[in-house]
Amino acid sequence: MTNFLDKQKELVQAAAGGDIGAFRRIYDHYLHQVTCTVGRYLGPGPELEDVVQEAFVALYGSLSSVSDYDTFGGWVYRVSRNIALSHLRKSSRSIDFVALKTLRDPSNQWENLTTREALRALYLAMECLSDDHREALIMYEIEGMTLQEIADLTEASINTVASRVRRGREQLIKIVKQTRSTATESGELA
Amino acid sequence: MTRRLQCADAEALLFDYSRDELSPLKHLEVEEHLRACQACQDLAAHMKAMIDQAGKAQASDWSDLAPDPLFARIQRALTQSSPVEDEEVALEAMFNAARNAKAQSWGGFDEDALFVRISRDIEEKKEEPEQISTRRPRVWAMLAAAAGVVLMGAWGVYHFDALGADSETHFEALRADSETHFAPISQVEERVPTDQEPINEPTFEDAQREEVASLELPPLEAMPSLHDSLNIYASKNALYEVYEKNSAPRVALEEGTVLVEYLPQAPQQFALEANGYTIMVTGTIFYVIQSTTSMEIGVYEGAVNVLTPEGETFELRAGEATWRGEQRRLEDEHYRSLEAYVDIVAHRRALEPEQVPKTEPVSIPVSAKPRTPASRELRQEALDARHRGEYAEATRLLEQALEATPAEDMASADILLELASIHLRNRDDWKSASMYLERFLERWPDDVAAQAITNQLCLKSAVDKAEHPLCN
Repeated sequence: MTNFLDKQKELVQAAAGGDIGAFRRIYDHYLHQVTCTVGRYLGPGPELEDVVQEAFVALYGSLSSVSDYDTFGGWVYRVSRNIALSHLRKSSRSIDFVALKTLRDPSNQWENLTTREALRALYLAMECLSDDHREALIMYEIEGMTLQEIADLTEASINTVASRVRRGREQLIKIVKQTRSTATESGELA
Repeated sequence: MTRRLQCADAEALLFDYSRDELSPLKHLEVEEHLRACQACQDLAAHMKAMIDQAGKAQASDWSDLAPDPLFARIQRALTQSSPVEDEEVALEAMFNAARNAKAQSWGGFDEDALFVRISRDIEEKKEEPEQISTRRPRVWAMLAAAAGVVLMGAWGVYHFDALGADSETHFEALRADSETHFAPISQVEERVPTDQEPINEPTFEDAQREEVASLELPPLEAMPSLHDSLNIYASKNALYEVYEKNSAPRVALEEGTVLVEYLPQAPQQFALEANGYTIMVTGTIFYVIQSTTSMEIGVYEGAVNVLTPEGETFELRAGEATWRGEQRRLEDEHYRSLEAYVDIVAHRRALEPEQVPKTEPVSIPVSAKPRTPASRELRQEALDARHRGEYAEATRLLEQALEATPAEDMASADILLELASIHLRNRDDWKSASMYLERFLERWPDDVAAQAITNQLCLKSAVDKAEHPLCN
């Protein structure tokens, strides 16, 4: 079987020229990566598929600008991250009352949740943070970026970023602790 | 010499500790505290596990997206050549146009303006009742290609109440759309209601009764589907049709009970469209109740993505149901009736033991429910009224339920949230919503929902350029 990476340059060039079959190969190879990147910023939710779609449309539209084919994977990551970040910033955050009840529900101990449920609970808890704190926390804790990388990307000082991460951590701990204590009081937690 | 930490001090350092970012001395202090404090130890482990889980999550943990349909959407967005079949597709095309324009010049202002215009159009569409009434009230199921189905089969259990006098028109329109027909049309024609027949407009309670009554399934007969991946069992009064579109099988159901056993031989996805909603499914068990006045979708196992007529999407997971777009938890009786269906199907199919899909035990969510029967009934009536779109009545009933519920009962917290939700979402009255949310905050200031509620209040009041006392 031919390694995708061996043919990557050829496929990118063909896709940039309008070959939809070549673009499909690129899509198949990077769908997992793009979904994970978008997911880490936005959390699991119905809008995720739309943003993944938007990322691929953006990737397709910019393929002709790719010149360094060896770092194509990194370029895909950056484009999808920028799109996810843009959605994170502009999304009108509105309380999901139903999801809120899930979080408040003592029967939903986080330990017993499936991965998807745990992710939903985590991102719902992060909804309670301010935009800056949430963004910094996602980048630092979940994306694994360094403070310097975040500072460069967000055009904030490294101290500001560090402070946002710290405040985000404190608030998230409080929310998680609160959820756990609610469960304990209700006798639901072992 | 290490200092003995209190829980509050240790909690503030837990993240740093779990990330190994503390100085050696601080690290030791936290470690000592954790050795003596099980609660903090659990919290630290929990936080670390949660964050690590998010970092390592696979694509399937984030979304059930099906690669093939998604790529088809991307292709449509790129080519912009998809035929506009109906208003739902037209809306989709409008969204795609906005997305595509954005891709061509990322970050520009024109694209945002375009999207704002589209959003405004959609909002206006929502506000026009005529538009909703002219939406084709057809009910059809579509099976399309998708990937990654783990289950051997997926069952869609559909209950559709009588459609009323105009069902013939709907069905004719639906048949006209199809490319091939396999259905027992004679049955369809026999069952078309006459003008003299009363138009049955079932209420939410009727639908629930129907659902519970479904424990006693009508006799279902295996019907020819002429499709390898599809087995159909139908009641005698069922009005349905199987046809193909774009090489994918579709089931169109107007009335009666039809059990569809879907056995994807290649990676495929099942989708059902009903009353303008599109329900995308991958290996799941769900039901739809469709009547002339309302529609309910509930998920028993797995998850479905629903595309509303307004072009919005939302996910429904196991244990969740939606009524006219409002999400809620599945009631116990829904689970029981669905389990009964699944059991019946399993016996009927007489599968080999290793082929019988395992039905994982479903934890039924327990939400705070009013303890007094009167309050509980009032709350249920209020939810029904809300589902019918009678928001003033729903508010009145919830107010009564609130009065009938002891102040210390957590159910009153839920009632306050419901009242706020109605005012925010249905009545566009953030000031009234604010009143209920403030009452919530007064009584449960430390509730996990408090901060999110305050954020929402501030957001809403900022839109009106009003200063809320809770917002700094």
